Amino acid sequence: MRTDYLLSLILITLLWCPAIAQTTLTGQLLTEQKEPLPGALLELQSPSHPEATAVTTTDEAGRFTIQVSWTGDSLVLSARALGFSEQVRRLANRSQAVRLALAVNPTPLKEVTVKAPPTRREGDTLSYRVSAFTDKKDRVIADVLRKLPGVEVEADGRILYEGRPIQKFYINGADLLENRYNLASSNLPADAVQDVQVLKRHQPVKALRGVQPTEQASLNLELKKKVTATGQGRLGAGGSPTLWNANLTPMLFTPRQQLLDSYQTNNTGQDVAAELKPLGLGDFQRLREPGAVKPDLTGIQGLGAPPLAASRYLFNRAHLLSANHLLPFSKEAQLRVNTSFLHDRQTYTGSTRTTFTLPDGPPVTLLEAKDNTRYINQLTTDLAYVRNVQRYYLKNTLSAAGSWEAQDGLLTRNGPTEAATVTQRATNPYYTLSNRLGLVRPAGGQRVVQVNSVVTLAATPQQLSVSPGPLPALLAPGGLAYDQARQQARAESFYTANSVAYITGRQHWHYTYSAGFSLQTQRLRSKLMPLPAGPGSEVADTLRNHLRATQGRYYAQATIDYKTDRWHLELEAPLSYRTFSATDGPLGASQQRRYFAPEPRLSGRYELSGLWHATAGAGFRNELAGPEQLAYGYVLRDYRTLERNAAPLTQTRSWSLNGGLVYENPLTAWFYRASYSFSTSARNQLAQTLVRPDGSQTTVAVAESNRGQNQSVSASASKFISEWKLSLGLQLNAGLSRQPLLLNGQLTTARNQNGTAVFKANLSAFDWGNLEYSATLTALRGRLGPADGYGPSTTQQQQHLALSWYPAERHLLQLATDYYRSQGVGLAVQNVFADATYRYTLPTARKIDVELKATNLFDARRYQTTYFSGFILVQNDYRLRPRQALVSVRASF
Amino acid sequence: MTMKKILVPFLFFHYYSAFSQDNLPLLESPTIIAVYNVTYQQDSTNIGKKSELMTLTITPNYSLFESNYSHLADSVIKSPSFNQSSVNLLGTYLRSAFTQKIYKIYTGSRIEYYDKIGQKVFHIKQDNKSIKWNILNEKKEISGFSCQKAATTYAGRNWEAWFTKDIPISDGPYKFSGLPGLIIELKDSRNSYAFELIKLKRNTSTVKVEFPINTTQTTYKEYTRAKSDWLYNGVSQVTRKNSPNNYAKEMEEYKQKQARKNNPIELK
Repeated sequence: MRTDYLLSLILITLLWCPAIAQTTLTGQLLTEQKEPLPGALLELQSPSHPEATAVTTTDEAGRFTIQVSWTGDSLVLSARALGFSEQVRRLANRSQAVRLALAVNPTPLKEVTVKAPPTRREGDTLSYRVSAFTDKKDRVIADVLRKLPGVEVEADGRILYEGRPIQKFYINGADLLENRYNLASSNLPADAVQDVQVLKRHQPVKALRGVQPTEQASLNLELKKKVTATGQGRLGAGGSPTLWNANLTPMLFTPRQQLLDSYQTNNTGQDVAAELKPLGLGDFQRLREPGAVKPDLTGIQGLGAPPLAASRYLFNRAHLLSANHLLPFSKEAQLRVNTSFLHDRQTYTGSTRTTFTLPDGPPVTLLEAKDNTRYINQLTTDLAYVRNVQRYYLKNTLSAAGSWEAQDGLLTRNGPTEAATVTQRATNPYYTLSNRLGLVRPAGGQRVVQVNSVVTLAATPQQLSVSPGPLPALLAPGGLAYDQARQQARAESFYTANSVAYITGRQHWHYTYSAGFSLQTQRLRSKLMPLPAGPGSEVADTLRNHLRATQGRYYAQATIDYKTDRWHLELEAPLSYRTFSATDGPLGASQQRRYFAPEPRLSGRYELSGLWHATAGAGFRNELAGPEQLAYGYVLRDYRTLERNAAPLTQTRSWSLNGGLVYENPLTAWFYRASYSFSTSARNQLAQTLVRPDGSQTTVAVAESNRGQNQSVSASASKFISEWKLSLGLQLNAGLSRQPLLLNGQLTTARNQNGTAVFKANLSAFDWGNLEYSATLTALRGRLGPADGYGPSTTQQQQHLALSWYPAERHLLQLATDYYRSQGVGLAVQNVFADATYRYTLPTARKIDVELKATNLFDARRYQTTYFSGFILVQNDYRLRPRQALVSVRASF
Repeated sequence: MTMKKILVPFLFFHYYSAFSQDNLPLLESPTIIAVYNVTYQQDSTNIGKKSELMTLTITPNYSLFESNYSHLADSVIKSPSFNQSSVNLLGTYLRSAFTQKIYKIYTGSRIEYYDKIGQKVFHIKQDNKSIKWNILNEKKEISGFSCQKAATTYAGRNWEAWFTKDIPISDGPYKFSGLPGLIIELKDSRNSYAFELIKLKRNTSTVKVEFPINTTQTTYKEYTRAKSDWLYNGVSQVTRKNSPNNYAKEMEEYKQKQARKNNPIELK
């Protein structure tokens, strides 16, 4: 208050001081109707200073203030506003209040269009000249793509644009490879490409353009020549033992056809099948369909894959031949053929220590040394016809696949009783034929109708032979030792899914209504025979299956999407009628099930403030397991697991909830996020497991309702320090699960806890290279029943340090070291891996790289992992590839 | 209040929404649209220039200057007939070198500057009284308007403007205003940025001029540093993940590429 008073005093003194001569004009501008006139321009000038001018604009109430310190006696005030006549008033040069009223002048605004807007806009296409982004080290187009603004190429070859996976990868406008575009992006020489076009928010389906906007982009590579024959070759050799790695990928692009063939072979542990991996979103859904993945009816005791790069543990001899042809009939229609043949022999050597924690006695521990070989022969063919016109979009894909796989397993077991050798031999071929039809038709305005239909036929005749005969107590007459057991199992399935969807929307709302049905018929015939067969003894009925099961789902679903600046809500509300029936004639068993199931799910995101947002979701599901789960008779899954599922099919009612809170502050470069998820599920059946002292296991499903629970919480924080170009990140995850079990006749609960902490740092303040460090710590522990506490924890530690160094142009040196420590049940196992790579680019016009790569410099031969599953603790030991060196030359032609 | 903010996110939301917009009124119908073509050169060593269209939407109480793409995108997103051409426009919006929205509030000569870093909108309050014009006697006719020359120095550049008293609106492109008429042309003395009026019309549609919500207040200096850090960090993360073998080289290239964008409209 006092200061205010003082301030006004000073102000008054200043205003009165004639030397400064400050003049303040205040006032109001009105229309002739005495309404305030906002947004009008007031200009003050002085006849004695013609160059000086003061300008202001009136506020909402038409008021204005102008302050000047000009000498001279008079001032000229001009008031101007659009649609009104100018008013000029001469005033004495002193502070005063002015009131002006402007008369309406109906002269319209002089509207002009001076120049037409530039027309070089190309809709939503961004075009990049490849040469502008290419430098000497770039070989293939993927190297260039990852440099384009907004484009990212992930480790598995997936391309993202502005953080979202691309939808299509075109070459000269044609979609040759669909989602397996990795083949082209990692083999097409950068030289052959003229331009890369980013088709932003590209709707590949012409019929959906203007109806269904998409956020995803697509890429188009425009090649330099009309007819482009090109390719890539890589040849590598090394030791020891003798190593090879070769890749030959010829390509041909003409207006009449496009062709990309590839032959790859290696024994260096490179997983060539990864190049055939589908990369699109839709493919993940397709993999969940029955018939998409081979069921494992029976097989040898495997060793699983360790969480290491395949090149560290995979002993392979792979040959891959793949051919991709595209024949455009017209601008709208095309036929595409993709065929591949894979031949591989993989060996896995190691050992497994399995500990069963039992409620009725001491734990049972089983030690198995394994020497497994897989022989893989796989042929797949896709024949796709696409017609993409304004009125509709049709795509029909006929796929046929055959896989001939055999497995040999030699196993030495050190059970609690005695050491024994088990020989296993399995064959599990798999044949599928499927047809997939998709049709999209606009229905006027914003509306669209989509029809989808899938038909799949699959068959897999599998066989496992085990000698000496396993589980004599159960399988041999009198419980005596016997020579061999042979499990034969043949599953055949027919699956069809058909749906119609109607899509519409306006402004903040988007609706999808769909209806459809799916039907699955499954036949399982199996026979478990102890050999040599006893005199005149037929195979017991309980060791046979003659199952026929049919499962159906009829549904109607509404999906509502609501999006504003603050909210994004999505409600999915399907109502299903599920049916199931199964019979096994010879066993006289059958079951039937029919029910209605509403399965709503709501998820949302809410912007709390500029820096915080929250996400949440909740849902309910009421599902039946697939019929392939069912078997009224026993099946020998592997040499020590006998399984039977003669209970009602599993019906799972589950509730799930999740929530998260995210803080992102780019100003301070601090980012935090925390999330929690909870799910609880009720099932109508339980697996009853009987573990014998020799570690063999019999699992039978029994009807008993039960409830399990899963919880997980995760949090992360990251910080970027601008001066050092140093980024730091910490991530924490914890999980808790509780599952009921019927173990050796007792109902008990398995509780598992797991925790992971990850720390990452990256320093790139230098011009000559970069330094990177990461550390991961994982801990697991479990508890069975009302035991007093958790068992000992098993921990895994992993650290990684890498240095990249560019000593001079065309030279690159990379050093990386990894440290692993696994503390399981026995002694801790530690590994240190070190790899070094040196690459030299020849100073020739043709791009030729020479690379020397030495892996596993410390010659670490063993790696250990541990995991929990209910009451089973599995600790795997793997034999690793030895120290080896490989020299390779890579050139494009 | 503090407790409630933590416990009840909804209260949190109301608290922010009430104050984030400074209670500025939303105007149903902006009166005048001025479209400028801006020609600019982001790399001072490369004379290759780019251009795009920017719109000044003038209401009686404030104006909004933004990239034309963003202006059109906003209006089509809100229009009920959202179609493919809308999508195309949204796509081109992403190409804009001017992602900011500049609101000039006539009362008190304030500038409210908004821009995005990632998905977050930042708000910078500035005063535009600092632009002192020197009105010169030089006159010429541009596109049928009789224009007069004026000069000023702002953020490290000397600017030359041609304004017309024919349009009684004291406004112009970017942060520039305060002349006794609308700015028809504006360029800096190095010819790095040039704005030319190419269209002037009264708006007849009822598109709302809206102020961004969910914003965080900061300063221009903080904001520019954060934006370059954000970009660097994002590129670094992606590069490390995707091409660990070429990480150092690619980051070096990125640093060089960023260094070439050395000619921002505000030099200091």
